[in-house]
Amino acid sequence: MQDDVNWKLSLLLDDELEPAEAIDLLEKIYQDSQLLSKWYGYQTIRQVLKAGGGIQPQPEFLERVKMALAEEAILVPSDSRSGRWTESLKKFNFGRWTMPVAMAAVVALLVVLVSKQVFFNSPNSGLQIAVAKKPSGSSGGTGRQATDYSRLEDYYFLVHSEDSLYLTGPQHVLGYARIVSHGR
Amino acid sequence: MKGEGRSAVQIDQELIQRVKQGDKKAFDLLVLKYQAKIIQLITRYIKDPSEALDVAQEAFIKAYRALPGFRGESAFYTWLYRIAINTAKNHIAARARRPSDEEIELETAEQFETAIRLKDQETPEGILLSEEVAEAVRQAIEALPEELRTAITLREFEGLSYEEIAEAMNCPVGTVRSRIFRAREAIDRRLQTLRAGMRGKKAKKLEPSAQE
Repeated sequence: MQDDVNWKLSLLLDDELEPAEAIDLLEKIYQDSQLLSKWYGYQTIRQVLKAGGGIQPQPEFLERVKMALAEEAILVPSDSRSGRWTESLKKFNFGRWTMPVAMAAVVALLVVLVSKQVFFNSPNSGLQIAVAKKPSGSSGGTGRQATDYSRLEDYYFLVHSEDSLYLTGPQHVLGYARIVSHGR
Repeated sequence: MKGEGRSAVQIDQELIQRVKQGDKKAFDLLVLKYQAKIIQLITRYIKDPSEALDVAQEAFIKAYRALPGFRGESAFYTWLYRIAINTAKNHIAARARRPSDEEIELETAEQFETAIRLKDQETPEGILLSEEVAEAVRQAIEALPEELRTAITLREFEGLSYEEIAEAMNCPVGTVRSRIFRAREAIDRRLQTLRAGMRGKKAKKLEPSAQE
């Protein structure tokens, strides 16, 4: 019986045991001082043959680590929700979406920058405010002549030229829209 | 029975899984499995045996703490090996920054005595494999029948797998297993006899002081 266990010990040292059998044996070694001594004996032989000497394999080291480990927190399985989140992140094909999203972001940025540039470079940039909708009964003059401040609370039309207006939100926070009329 | 390597990876994976689920004892089993290899690795960097043991312990604790992040992309031993090397290198760097022993003044005689006592407990004889043990192993190998000596030599010196040894010795793998086991048993018997003798000597040395 003891020979059978020692035989397995020799195989364990050479990683020649089935995993289940190996773990079972490791647990036995852990609990049985005689087996533990045999295990360190085999390790000693290996060490002498391989290295010619060095630190003696001994159970005291395992005890030291066990004591130090007692101070450590027990590891708990990671939260299943965060696990699922990580899993779905992993499943999401970033490679497939990165390019189109980046392109769209660049185009959007360019549109904003260009429109800002046009607006601020326009001759009447933000200085004159007019309402696009011509008040009824106006004499048919230009947008500038048709100025009506009653709708300023809602939004502003900024006069760019005779034929085009810029629509912007309150405090110029919102994006711009250019309204162009032809043949006036 | 399994092929070398594959089995080790599966054993480690199973134990790591258990540790990650809160089973600290499973980590002890990993220590039991790898302590000799890790200590031997660290002694290549740190010559002082007691320091090497401290660093080995630190490496295992670091590994335990880092285990939740271990994804199994490499073998556990490779990962542990890296941690051990880094811990040893960090220890060497930290030691280089510390003031030398001469600069440290022992404040009181009591402190000095404590230091001496600690040193005594960790003498190289207590930690290192003695020349007697190494000699006993060498003699035991010499005394082995040739087929056992060849099998254990090919395994331990040359690092051949059981299959390779079987091929080299022109015998079945089962015979190789048996020969290696018998060789280890024979050597271990000699070591046990030696240890029993050493324990007897130690006990005799202690006897007079106990009576005093």
